[in-house]
Amino acid sequence: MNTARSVRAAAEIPGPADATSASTRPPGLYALGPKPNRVYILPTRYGYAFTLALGAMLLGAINYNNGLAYVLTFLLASVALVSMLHANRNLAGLKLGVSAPKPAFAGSTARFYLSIDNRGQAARYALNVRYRYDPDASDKLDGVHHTDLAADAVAREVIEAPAIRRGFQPLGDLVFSTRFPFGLFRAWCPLKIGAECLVYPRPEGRQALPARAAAGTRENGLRGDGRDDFAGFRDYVPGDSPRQIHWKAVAREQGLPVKLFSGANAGELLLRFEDVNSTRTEARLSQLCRWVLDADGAGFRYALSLPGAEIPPGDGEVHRHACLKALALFSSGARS
Amino acid sequence: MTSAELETRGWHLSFERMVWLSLSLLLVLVPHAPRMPAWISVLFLVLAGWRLYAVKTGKPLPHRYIMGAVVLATLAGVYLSYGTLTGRDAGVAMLAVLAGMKIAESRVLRDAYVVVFLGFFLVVTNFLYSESIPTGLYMLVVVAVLIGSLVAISTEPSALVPQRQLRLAAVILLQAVPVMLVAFLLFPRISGPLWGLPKDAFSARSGLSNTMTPGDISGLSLSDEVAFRVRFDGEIPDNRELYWRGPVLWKTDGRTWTAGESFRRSKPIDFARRGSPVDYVITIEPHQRRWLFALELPATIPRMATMSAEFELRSVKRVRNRMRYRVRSYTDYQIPWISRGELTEGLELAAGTHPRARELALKWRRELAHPRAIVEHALEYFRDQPFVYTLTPPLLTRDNVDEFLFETRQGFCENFASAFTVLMRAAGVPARVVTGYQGGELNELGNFLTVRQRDAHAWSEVWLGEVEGWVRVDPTGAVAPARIESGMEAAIPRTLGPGALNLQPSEPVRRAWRSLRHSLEALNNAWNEWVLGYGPERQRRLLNQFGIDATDFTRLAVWLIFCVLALLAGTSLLLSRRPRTRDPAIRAYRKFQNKLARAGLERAQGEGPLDFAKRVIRTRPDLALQVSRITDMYVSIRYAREGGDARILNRAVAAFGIQ
Repeated sequence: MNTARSVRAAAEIPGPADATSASTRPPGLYALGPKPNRVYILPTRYGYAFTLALGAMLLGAINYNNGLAYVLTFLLASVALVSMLHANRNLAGLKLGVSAPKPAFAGSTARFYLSIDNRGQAARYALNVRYRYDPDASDKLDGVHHTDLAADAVAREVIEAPAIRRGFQPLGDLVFSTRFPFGLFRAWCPLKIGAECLVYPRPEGRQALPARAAAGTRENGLRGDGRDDFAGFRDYVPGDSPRQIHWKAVAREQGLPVKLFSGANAGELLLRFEDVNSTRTEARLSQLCRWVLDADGAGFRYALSLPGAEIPPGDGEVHRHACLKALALFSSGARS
Repeated sequence: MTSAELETRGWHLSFERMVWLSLSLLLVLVPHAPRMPAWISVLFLVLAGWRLYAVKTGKPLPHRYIMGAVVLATLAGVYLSYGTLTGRDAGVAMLAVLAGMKIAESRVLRDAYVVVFLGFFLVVTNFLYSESIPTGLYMLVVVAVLIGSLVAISTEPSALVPQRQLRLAAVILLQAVPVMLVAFLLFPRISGPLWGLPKDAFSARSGLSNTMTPGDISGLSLSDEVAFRVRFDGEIPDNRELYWRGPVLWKTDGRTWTAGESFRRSKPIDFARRGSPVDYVITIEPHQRRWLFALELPATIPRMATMSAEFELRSVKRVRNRMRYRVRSYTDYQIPWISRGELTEGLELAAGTHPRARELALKWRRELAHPRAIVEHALEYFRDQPFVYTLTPPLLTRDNVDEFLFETRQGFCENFASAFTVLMRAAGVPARVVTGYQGGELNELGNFLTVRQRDAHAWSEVWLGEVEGWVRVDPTGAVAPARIESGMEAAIPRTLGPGALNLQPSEPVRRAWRSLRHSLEALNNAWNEWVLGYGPERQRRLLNQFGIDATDFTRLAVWLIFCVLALLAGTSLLLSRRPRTRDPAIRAYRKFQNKLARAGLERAQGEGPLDFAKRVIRTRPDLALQVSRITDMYVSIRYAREGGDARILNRAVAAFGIQ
């Protein structure tokens, strides 16, 4: 099932996601208004209260035979009806683009990038974008974004949700709504958004990296002694091993530089599921994740072996992503 | 948590919102202020001002016990001021006080909505006092501000600055007008009231009563208030024939004249008539009595009215609302019959009154044989003796007829009518007093006549025997013919400005003033007919012209819904139009795009102008020169630093054509 998901992958909209996002769920374009994204509209409770007030005014107008009271009652009723049209117009015709999100580690934040396209249309006010932090949670952990949109403008919104579990985390359904202009009606448009964020396991565990095999030999290799050729610095990214941080630079408040070593003469690492000293699958995956990051950070070539999946030795961004993705999508059912 | 709660989480009553709410309530209460005890206005200002200060400085709300105590105290205050908590005036005072309290304790979104809804109710209460055009216009402004408040409280967050919120409110109000008009015209009308009205629903309005005491009619003569308006089908009769018949008075105690009891019938009474009939429609202002006025002498009875033997028209119900009725009259008539009761009643005088008048009348009776001669003689007497027609006669303290006839000789129509009738009765000629209105102001613009309270008049009718019957005699006309021929204004010139200076405006000023007043009067008349007086009757007649049966409420409701939906669909189309952009370059480029689109070359979503131009040139190389020129110009205006002239672009687009 998970593998089937990863097949569909094509970034139609260039977004902030990098090359690794090619394996996340596809982004999409959604138009609010026409089928299947109909805009619904209903009175709010203030709308119902307003109707009651108008009813009372109408009774008063009839009772006192007051011409101007009739005029006012009908004027306010018409204003409410016209405001309903405005509420609809405030949503309809909007185009929403969802770009593929960057993968995230469990425990960090998944970021979904939306572009709300209002080109060639009048300004919109007080839009609410509601989303669900965790689509599987029974209690609704909803978040709401408020935004205005100028005429002819494109707005970018970032929806941040806690990345909770490894695997594909869907953004869930988005609900665009507005109570503009008077709050008497609420127009809303539920959107089934396919976008999912790939969530890597949480990098965890204190077990040291397995020993490196000498080039060509996988078994009884020696652990890297860290005396590989120093290749330079780069900025810290989550998952880097603390051992590679250049702590002296940190003390001088020069950011968090990470030492890089050229792996030219480094041996290959084999990161094996069975080598993790834990019986819990998740703990093992977390440890493997840690190892992958450490190995990648140290510039080693490494291979990953999971029950039912083998990833041949390699290095670099794409290799790291392949390994992490395998960990993210590992299912015990797939073990054979 | 519901969607609405979730989406309005974090709402707070900002200072700006508080200003909106206080200002809109202040505006709606301004017209009420002079009608309420001053302490209510002061209390409202204090509460709103305090709350604004509290919001600005972040002070907390007072304890709810304190608020409760203030509420109870103000309720007690309203009770002490009005002696009641119900009724129109006290009710409005209560609403005003509650509005102030609500502002003072507002905290959440719901409170803000309650304040605005209270504001709408207070607008309606203003209409219980005044339904004039200025009131309507002012309240339209107030409603726009209230709707602006709705925008301010409901829009979150908002790029809309207050001016734009108000503008949006005004735009939506304008867009709502067509639907409002349709609802106003088509909503099934029934005549109220549905339940009892408070006693003070209509303040006492002046008008003729069914008694006449000296000072009654001259009191009215200062009032410019409209009594009724008349629209004639044909030509308007001469001013001297415009006697609008009201209550006929038989009985006198020497000072006050009262109406007798008389039999009322629903079929018109026959009388001898000559000449052509006069048909007209009267729109009468509510006067809380039953009298309906008609030109002498009415030959038909309006619906829901009856006629007495004296040809008085009376409405079945009190005239509580503006009412319209149609009558046909004959100005040349004869009433050649009298009952035995009337014959004796028409000669009765209170015992021991007016000795000198009786003496004079008896002398005339001895000298003259025929009643008509007596009448002529009496009118001559009024003309010859130094009688003065005046609005401010000296106070009569003793026998008011004798004193008027022989001492002061200054009086208003009621003095003349009353003295003349007494003289006739004393001379053995059956006579009665008729009250009503005389004349009216012609409005050339609307071709209708406005009869005001100051046109109130009293005259006499005398019985001149079987041949002539009851004959109208107006002794005022003998003294001040201008009153009858040209109306009140000619008889007693009005002055502008303070009376002490007695400024006489010049003729052009007066003419300009008159024409202005006529235009206003015509406007008022249309307003009364179409806005205030639009009831079941008028609706039925209007819709009949369109072939709609207004008495069939189901049919009417279907029409109403259909029209409203059609208008809403139209409005919706209007709203979905692409906005006109302010940038002339974009406008010109759109025009260019439209021209290409008509030739089947449509710019794709997300396709840049340069790519689009390339694609166009590939399919239509013949257009290459123009397309690339226009595109280059557009791109440089929009994106290049040095820009360009949008007018040149516009000209290029205008010249651009595709064969």
